[in-house]
Amino acid sequence: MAVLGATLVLFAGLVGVAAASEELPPLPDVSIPTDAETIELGERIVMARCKTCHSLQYLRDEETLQPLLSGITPDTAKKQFGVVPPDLSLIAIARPGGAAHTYAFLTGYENDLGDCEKAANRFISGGCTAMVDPRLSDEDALAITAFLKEAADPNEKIRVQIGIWVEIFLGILTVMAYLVYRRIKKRELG
Amino acid sequence: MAEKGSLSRVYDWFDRQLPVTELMENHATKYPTPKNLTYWWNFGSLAAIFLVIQILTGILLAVQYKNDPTLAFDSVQRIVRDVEWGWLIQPMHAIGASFFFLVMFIHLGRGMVYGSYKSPRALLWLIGCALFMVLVIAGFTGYLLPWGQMSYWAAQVITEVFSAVPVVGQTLVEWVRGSFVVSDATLSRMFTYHIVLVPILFIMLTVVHISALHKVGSSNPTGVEIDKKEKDKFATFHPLTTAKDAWFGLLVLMVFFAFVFFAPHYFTPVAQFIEANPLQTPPEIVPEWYFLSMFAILRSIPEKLLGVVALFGSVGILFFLPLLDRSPVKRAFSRPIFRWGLLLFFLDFIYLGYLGTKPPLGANLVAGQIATLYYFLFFLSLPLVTWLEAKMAAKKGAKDE
Ligand code: HEM
Repeated sequence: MAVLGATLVLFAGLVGVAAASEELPPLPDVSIPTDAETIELGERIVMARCKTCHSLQYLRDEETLQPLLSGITPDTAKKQFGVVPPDLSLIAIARPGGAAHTYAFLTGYENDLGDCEKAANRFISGGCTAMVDPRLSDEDALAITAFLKEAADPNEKIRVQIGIWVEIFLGILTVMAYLVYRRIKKRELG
Repeated sequence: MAEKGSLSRVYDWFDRQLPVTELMENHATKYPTPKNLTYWWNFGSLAAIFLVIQILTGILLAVQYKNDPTLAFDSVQRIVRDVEWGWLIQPMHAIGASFFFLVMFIHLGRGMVYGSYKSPRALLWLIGCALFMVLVIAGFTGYLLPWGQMSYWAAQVITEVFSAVPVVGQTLVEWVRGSFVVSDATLSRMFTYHIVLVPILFIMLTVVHISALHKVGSSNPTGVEIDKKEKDKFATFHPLTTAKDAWFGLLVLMVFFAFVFFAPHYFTPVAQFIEANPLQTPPEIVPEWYFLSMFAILRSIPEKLLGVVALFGSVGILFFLPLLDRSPVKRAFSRPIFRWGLLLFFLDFIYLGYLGTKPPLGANLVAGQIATLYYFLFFLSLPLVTWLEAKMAAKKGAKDE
């Protein structure tokens, strides 16, 4: 069993190395709030300020049930910014570092444009971004991040809730199955 | 005579026309298993558990998945967000693939440590190798389906590999892709292979694998075959092995579900959450962790054709293990040279996996070449190792006399 454990640890290590090999500027160490109030605040800000340019296509309008599209068409955006602003539904898990990167980006603007045309941001490779500084307070940036994290992984709460019960159930079952095995082993092997 | 219950009459009706009792007794209730098997012999049944999980969750996913590049990525998001329990089924399938590979590596490794590939289990080993190849195909074809950036570019890079074949290379690439680049045609065929060909092969080969196993019987950790007549050294499969498989299977499922519920994206690179974009190469193209070792072998060889030969050779050489290693000693721990060679081989394989995450440059390239060399040297030196070990044993025998 000890060797078995060691093997598993080795494999876990290998996978860990694979996961950690992304190239990243050091991200700020933030804990993203999960309370409904903050998430709602984040949602309001996103709908008011971000949705003009960004779509959130995997989220739906509460009344029409249609996917949330951006205020401007991709063509217009392309003409205006040179790129189509990315969809935001998955953005909080689609960058190395996840939601921490989202927060870092929102608060990572530099006042000095340097060589950049539109805006300079420490957390974009190359240092330049086509999105101008939204000038968010830290609290607003955090609320937006909380909302986008929820948008990217909307099942997290229920998943963890059910998961704990599944683990408890499996744990009891495993212990019972082990005790059964021990008895059978004693009987069969003496 | 008492009237038989209706249930047992139904059972009799089947039993008269199908070998129900016979199959159950031969393969479960009365099948003899050595009493001294350790937990390393649990990984075959674990593989079967994960095969079943993959098939069941796969059927459910296929119902909702759309194999069209314009819809594929969206359909996976729909499954996770809108389909009842989709948030559970999708990560079970994705994490299940990783666990299937993990279990398979250990199952294969057990076979190497305990000489399970030697007589009388050579055919059993060969069928196992075929199963491993099916698993590799399953992993490769399945990874394209979500149509994320990493799906697309990994498929692009790996199918490009065939272009190294002389003369017909480019034709071969187009044949595999069904087009000049990875596209709609590629997705359709990978989907078909993944949900039709792969499961059929898996199920057929698993049945053959178990049939072969039950013909020759399990080996055991001593490395010395037990005579069938030594009845006291065997227990029936049920209840001893069934109980052992059950509790250990549940333990592994606990770990599996911990990932599914608490870290469903653990094995998913972030680029997979961006829809495939043929015009934009992601900053890094790294395959799934279970392909990293093979990927490192491919990349450590600068000559393209040779790299491809090494890539396929690294899996193909497993088929030749029964031929290359003719030593009568089964247990690796009982062999003075082989035991260290094999240990180094396992470490080498893991190290190759680590190198697979690094760009093949400078010191990493050289390290990759040395590790690749050892990977093959391990296999190819087996006749020599066996000969040397026989000499050592003879010398020791002479001294003892
Ligand atoms: C879908 C994949 C597979 C399934 C479901 C499967 C299933 C099993 C089962 C249930 C056993 C008996 C229990 C045990 O010894 O662990 C077994 C034994 C064995 N398997 Fe597999 N297996 C698979 C893949 C492989 C692969 C990839 C190899 C090697 C290349 C392999 C080689 C063997 C050998 C040699 C044995 C006999 C071991 C001994 O008693 O020494 N199998 N397999």
